[in-house]
Amino acid sequence: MSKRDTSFSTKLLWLVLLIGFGCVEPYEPPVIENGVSLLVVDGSLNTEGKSIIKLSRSENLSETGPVPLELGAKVSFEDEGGTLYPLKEEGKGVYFLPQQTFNPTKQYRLKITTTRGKEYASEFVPIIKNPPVDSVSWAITADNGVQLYISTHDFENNTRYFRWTFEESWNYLSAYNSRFEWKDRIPILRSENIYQCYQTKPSGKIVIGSTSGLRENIISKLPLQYIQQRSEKIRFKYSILVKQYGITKEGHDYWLQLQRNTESLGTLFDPQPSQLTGNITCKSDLSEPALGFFTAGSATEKRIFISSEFLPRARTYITPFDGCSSDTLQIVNISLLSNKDLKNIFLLDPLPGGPLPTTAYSYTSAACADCRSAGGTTIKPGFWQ
Amino acid sequence: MSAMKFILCAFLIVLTALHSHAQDNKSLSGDFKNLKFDEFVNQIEKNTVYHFYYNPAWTDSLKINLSVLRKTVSEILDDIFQNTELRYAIDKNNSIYLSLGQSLMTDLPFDFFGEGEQLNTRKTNDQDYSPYEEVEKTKEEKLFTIGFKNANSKPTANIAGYVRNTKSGEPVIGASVFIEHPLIGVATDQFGYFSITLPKGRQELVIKSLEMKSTKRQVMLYADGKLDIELQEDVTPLKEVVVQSERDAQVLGLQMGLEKLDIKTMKQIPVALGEVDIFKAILTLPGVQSVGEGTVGLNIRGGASNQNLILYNDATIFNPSHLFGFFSAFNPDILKNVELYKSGIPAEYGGRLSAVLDVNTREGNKRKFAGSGGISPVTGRFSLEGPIFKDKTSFLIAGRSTYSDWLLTKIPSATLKNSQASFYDLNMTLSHQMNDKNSFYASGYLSKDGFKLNSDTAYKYSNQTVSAKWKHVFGNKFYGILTGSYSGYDYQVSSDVNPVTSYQLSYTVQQANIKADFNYFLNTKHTLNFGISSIRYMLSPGSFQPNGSESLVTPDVLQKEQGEESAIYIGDNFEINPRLSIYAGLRYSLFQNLGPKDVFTYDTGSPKNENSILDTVQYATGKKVANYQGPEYRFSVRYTLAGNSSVKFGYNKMRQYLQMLSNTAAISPTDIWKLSDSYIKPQIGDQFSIGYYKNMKSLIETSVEIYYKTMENFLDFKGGAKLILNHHIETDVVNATGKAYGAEFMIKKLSGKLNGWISYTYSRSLLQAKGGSPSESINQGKWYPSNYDKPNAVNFIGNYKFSRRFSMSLNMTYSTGRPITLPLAKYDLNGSKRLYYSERNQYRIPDYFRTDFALNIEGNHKIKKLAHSSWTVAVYNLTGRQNAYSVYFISQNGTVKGYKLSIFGRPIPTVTYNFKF
Repeated sequence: MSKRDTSFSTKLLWLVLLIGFGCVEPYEPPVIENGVSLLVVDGSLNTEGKSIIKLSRSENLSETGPVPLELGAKVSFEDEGGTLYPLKEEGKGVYFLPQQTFNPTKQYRLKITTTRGKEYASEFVPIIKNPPVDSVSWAITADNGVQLYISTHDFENNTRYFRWTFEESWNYLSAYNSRFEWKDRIPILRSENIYQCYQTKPSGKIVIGSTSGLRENIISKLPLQYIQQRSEKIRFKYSILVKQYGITKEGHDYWLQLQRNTESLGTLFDPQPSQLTGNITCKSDLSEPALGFFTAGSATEKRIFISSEFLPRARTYITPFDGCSSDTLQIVNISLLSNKDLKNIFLLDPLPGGPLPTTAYSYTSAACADCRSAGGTTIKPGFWQ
Repeated sequence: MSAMKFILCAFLIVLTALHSHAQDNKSLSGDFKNLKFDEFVNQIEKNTVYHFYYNPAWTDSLKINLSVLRKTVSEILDDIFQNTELRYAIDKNNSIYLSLGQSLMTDLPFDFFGEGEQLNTRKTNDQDYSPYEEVEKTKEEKLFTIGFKNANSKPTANIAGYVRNTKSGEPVIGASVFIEHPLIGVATDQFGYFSITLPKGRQELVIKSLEMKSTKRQVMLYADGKLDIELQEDVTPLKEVVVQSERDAQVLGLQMGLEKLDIKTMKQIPVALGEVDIFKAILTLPGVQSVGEGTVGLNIRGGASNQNLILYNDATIFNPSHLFGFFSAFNPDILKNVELYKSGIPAEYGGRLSAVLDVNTREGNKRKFAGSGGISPVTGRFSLEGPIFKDKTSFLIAGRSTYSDWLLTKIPSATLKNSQASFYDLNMTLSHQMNDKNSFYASGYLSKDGFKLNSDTAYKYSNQTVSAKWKHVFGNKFYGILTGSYSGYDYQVSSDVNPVTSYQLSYTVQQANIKADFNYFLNTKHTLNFGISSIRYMLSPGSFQPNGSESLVTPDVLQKEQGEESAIYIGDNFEINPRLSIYAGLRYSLFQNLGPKDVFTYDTGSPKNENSILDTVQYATGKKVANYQGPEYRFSVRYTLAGNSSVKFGYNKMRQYLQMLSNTAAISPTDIWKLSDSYIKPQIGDQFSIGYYKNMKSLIETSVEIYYKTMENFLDFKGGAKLILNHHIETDVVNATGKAYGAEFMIKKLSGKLNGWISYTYSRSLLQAKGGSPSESINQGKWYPSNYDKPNAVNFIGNYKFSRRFSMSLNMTYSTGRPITLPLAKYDLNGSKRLYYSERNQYRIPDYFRTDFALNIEGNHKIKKLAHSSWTVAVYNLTGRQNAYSVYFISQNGTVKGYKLSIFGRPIPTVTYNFKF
C-alpha cells in the first residue's frame, strides 16, 4: 500500500508543480555540528557462495571525499550454539568468508569488534530459502519508455517477503568513430576499438515486495525499473541482471522504512522520516546506534536482454557525449603541435576523402572519441549475447 | 410619515371594502360561554358592522362568559376589558382597535395591526429603501408597551423576540440587544432569538449588528412580553467591516477566546485561488496555525487538526477540504457566519479537544427570490434562494464545481493529460416558521472529490451531512431545540493498472446524532442552558477488495467499529453584578465501544507488537468492549475594570473519543478516524486561559490572552507505522502527553477608512512519549515539538476604503518555520547513499513570510438593477517569496541532495467575478 501511496503523492506533487504555482529548489541545510560517525554494516551471510560484509562509517552531509572505511575490525558469524565463523579482511573495508555449509535450521548473527575496541552484534536471523525468479519482463509504456517487471512465486511458502537488487548493462558508442591513431606523429588506421563500449552499473534502488496481502504467494509483474525512451541504455542493446533475496518481515520493514526515508520524500503527504537503525547494536555502548541490516540466505538470479530493434526509436538519445563537436586539422599544421597536443587529437576521417589526396583530417577530443571516457569498458562482458 | 399614512390608508380601504357587506347593526344579543376572544370577535364581526384590529397575543388568556341583550359593542367591551390592561377605540369606519395600557390613540398609530411590524414591510416596495427610513424613524420613536400594567410586583420583566432582516426575513444572528443605563445586554442566538430581563419602566433598547443598521426601540415595560425587531441591511456593504456590537462584546461579553468572522470580513482577505475560503481567513487570527499552504487542517493553540470540532449547520464535517486542501469544503456564497471557540468552550460543545468551529449557512430569503454566483480561476458556483410560503418558509440551494478536469487537459504534459481532479459540493437549507412558537430547519450537504493522476490510482472521497432542527418556544424565557443529524465520510482508492493486483480500498465513518438543548432565561442574573445528546458511531475502518476477476488480491476487511457517546450538560451564566459575571458549566460524557468485536490481548510484560499477542477475546453484538466516562468542567469569569476594559479567566476540560490517525504532517485524504477502544484511550485536554481587553476611544480594540493547555493520551506514531489496513493499530502508536502554552496580542481598528488588525502570538506545542520500552518512546522520552509548533507568528490584515466602490486589502503573515526531522549523517549502503536522521522534530524549516494584496471593485450602487456584481483582483504572495512547505533529502544516483518545496512559490494573480441578484 505504501508503495502506491507514495507514487500517488509524487504525482500529486508534480501536478501542483506543473500547474505552475509550486517550485522545488535545492536546499542546503544549516550546518549540523558534530556530525555523527556511526558504524555502517552492508552485507549478508551467503549460503551458496562467498559471504561479503562491508564496513564503513557515516559522515557529515557536506563531506565530498571518499566514504570513510572501517579497517582492521574482527568480523565473524556466530550461530545460536556459539560456533564462530571468522571472516577475513580483504581491504577497502571488505571482509569475506569463502563458501561454507551452514545449518539451514539454525539462526546466525554477525559480530564485530572494531580496532577501537567497540563490540557490535546483530540479532540472530534465520536462513531463508529463496525461490527462483520466474521472469523479468518488460513492456513499452505510454510515453515509449521501457518498464521492467519482476515476477516470482514461492509455493513452498519459505517467505512472503522479497528484496531485489539489479545491475544494468548496455553497449554504447562514443560521439565519433576515430578511425586513425598516431604512430610516430603520423596518422595510421586504428588497431583497437575505442568506439563501442559496454557499461555495467549496479543500482542502489530499493525494490521490495510482499505477498502478505495476497491469497497466493505470487509476485506478479512488480515494477522494477523504468527507462525513458531517450536513455542511452536502450539505444542498442540492454541487459539487466536481477538478484532476488527472500527476507524476513523485519527485513522487509527495514527496507521499506529506508525507502521511505530516502527515496520517497518530498511530497505533499510525506510521512515522518524516522531515525532508522536496523538489527545491529553496539553492545559496549548502548547509546551508540549502528546502521545496516544483517540477513542470511542466498540470491537467485535472472538476466534478460532487450534489443533496440523491438523498441520505438527516439530521434535523439541522451548520452554522456552531448556537446561534442569535431574540427579540421590540416596536415601541414601537424608539425606545429607538440606530442602532448597530439595525444588529445583523435582523428576521425581523412579530408576531402575519396580519390583526392588527403590534405586534412577531421578530429575530436579524447572525451568525445574514446568511449571509455564515459566509464565503460571496450571488453565485451562474458554474459553479453 | 406621509408614505406611512398612505400605506395604512390603502390597507384600511381594502379591509373596509371587504367588510362593507356586514350588517348594518351596531348592537348585539346572545350568550357567550367560555369563548376565546378570537371566537368572540368572529361572532361580533359576523353579526355587526364592526371589525377588530388587535394583537392576538394580548388576548390569548382572555375567556368570555357573557349573556347580553341588545347591548352595544362598547358596553360589551367595557365589560370584558374590565380589570385588564386592554383598551379599545372605535373609529368612524366601525373599526375597533385594541391597545394595551393606554386607552385611546388619537392618531392612528402605525403598528396597530397585530404582531410585530410586518405590515409596513409587507406593503413596501422591497427595492425602494426610502420608505424604510421613514418607518424606521417612526418605530424608533414609537413607545412599545410590553405586558399589562400591574401584572405583578416584580421589579423586572422580560422581553423576548426575534431580530430579523427586513429585506429577507432571515434571522440576524449575534445582534446585540441592550440598554445603556444600566448596561444590560444580550446577543441574539442562532435563530435571531433574544431574551432580556430589564428593570420595569421606560427603557431604550438598542439593537446593533454586523452589516445591519443599528436601531433602537422605546419600550414601556410592565411585564413579560414579546417584541420582534427588524433590522435593515446596510445597503452599501463596504461601509463598515465590523460593527460596534462586536466591539462591545469583546470587553463586556463573558466568552473569551471566541473569534467571529462574517463573510464580509472573509471576502477582504486575498486568497490564492480566487475564492473566499474560511480556513484561510481563520488562519489570520492569533493562535491559529496550519502545517503549510495548501492544507486544510488547522492547529488551534497547539492542538492537532483532528482536535477541532467542525460543525456545519450542527452536523460534524470530517474532511473539510477539497482538491488536496486547496479549497475549503464550504461554499462561501451561502455562509452566514463562522465562530471559532479557542478557549472557554461552553458546555453544550464536546467531543473534541482543541477548539470548536461552528459554521452556519444563511437561511433563504423569506420574501423574494434571489441568487448569487461567481467564477474564479478554478471553480464556478451558483446559489438560489427564495420563499416557498412568503414569510414562513424559505429555501436555499447552492452548488459549486470545478472545471479543473478541463484545465488539466489543456496542460501540455502527457502525465497530466491523463489526470483528473475535480470536486463538487451541494448545499440545501430549508427553514419554516410555523408560528410564533415553532420553527423548523433542515439542511443537507454533499461533497465529492475525485482525482486520478496519470491514469494510475484513483482516489475519491465524499462528505455527507443532513441535519434537522425543531425549535420550540415554551414561553418568553424558555425555549428548546431538538436536533437530529447524520454525518458521513468515506473514501475509496482503487487501481486497475495491473489486473493481478487491481484493488479497491474503502473506508467509511458515519455518525448519527440526536440532541436536545434548552435555554432558560431564569432572571436578570441567571441564564441557564442544559441539554442531552447522544451520538452513535459506525466505522468501517478499511476494506481491501480485488478489483476485477483476474485480481489475486486477498480481500482484507478490518472489523467494523461501533460506539456510542452520550453527554448531559448544564451551564449557568450568572451576572453577579454589572462588573462581575461568571459562567459555570458541567458536561458529563460517557463513551462505549460496542461489539461485535474481536480484541487481541497482549503480553503485559512486553511492548505491544505482533509477537506479543496472546489471545483474542470476542465480544458479541452490542456488548461493551471498552467504556470511558468523565466530567468536563467549563468555567469563565469576567470582571469589568474602569476605562472600558475587562479581565477574563477561563478553564475548560474536554474529552475526545474519536481520533484521527495520520502520520503525515498535513491532513491527507486517506487519513482514518478511529474510536477509542480497549487500547486507544480517549484524549483528555485541560486549558486555562486569562485575558485582558481594553477598548480605546478611537475605535481601537486591544486584547492579550495567555493560555496553558495539557493533553493526555495524544496519539503519535512509531517510526514507519502502518496505519492503513492495520488489524492491530495499537502496536504502531505511542501514547504521548502534550502541553501547549502561549500569549496572543491583538490590536484591531474596527471602522473608518482604514481598518484591520495586527496580532502577535508566542506559542509552543510540545509532546512527550515515554513508553515502557524504547520502541514505545520517541526521542528517549524527552519533550519534543509537535509538527505544528511555530513559536512566533505575526499577522497583519489591513483594508483601506477609497470610496464605496473601491477598497484595497493588504495581508502580511510571518511565522517561525515548522519543526522537521533533518538528516544528521549520510552513509553508503548497497551502493547508494542513505541518510541517518536526527531525533524527531529537532530542526525547523526556514521562516514563513507572505504578503497578499487585493483590490475589490463593487459595481455601482444603484438599488434597482438586474444584478449586483463585484470584481476582485488579487495577488497572492506578492513578493514571490519561496516559502518552504517542506525540506527533504533524496538519494539520487548515489548522492544525497536536499530540496526545498514551495507550494505557492511566486506571485499568483487571480481575478474573480461575483454576482448577486
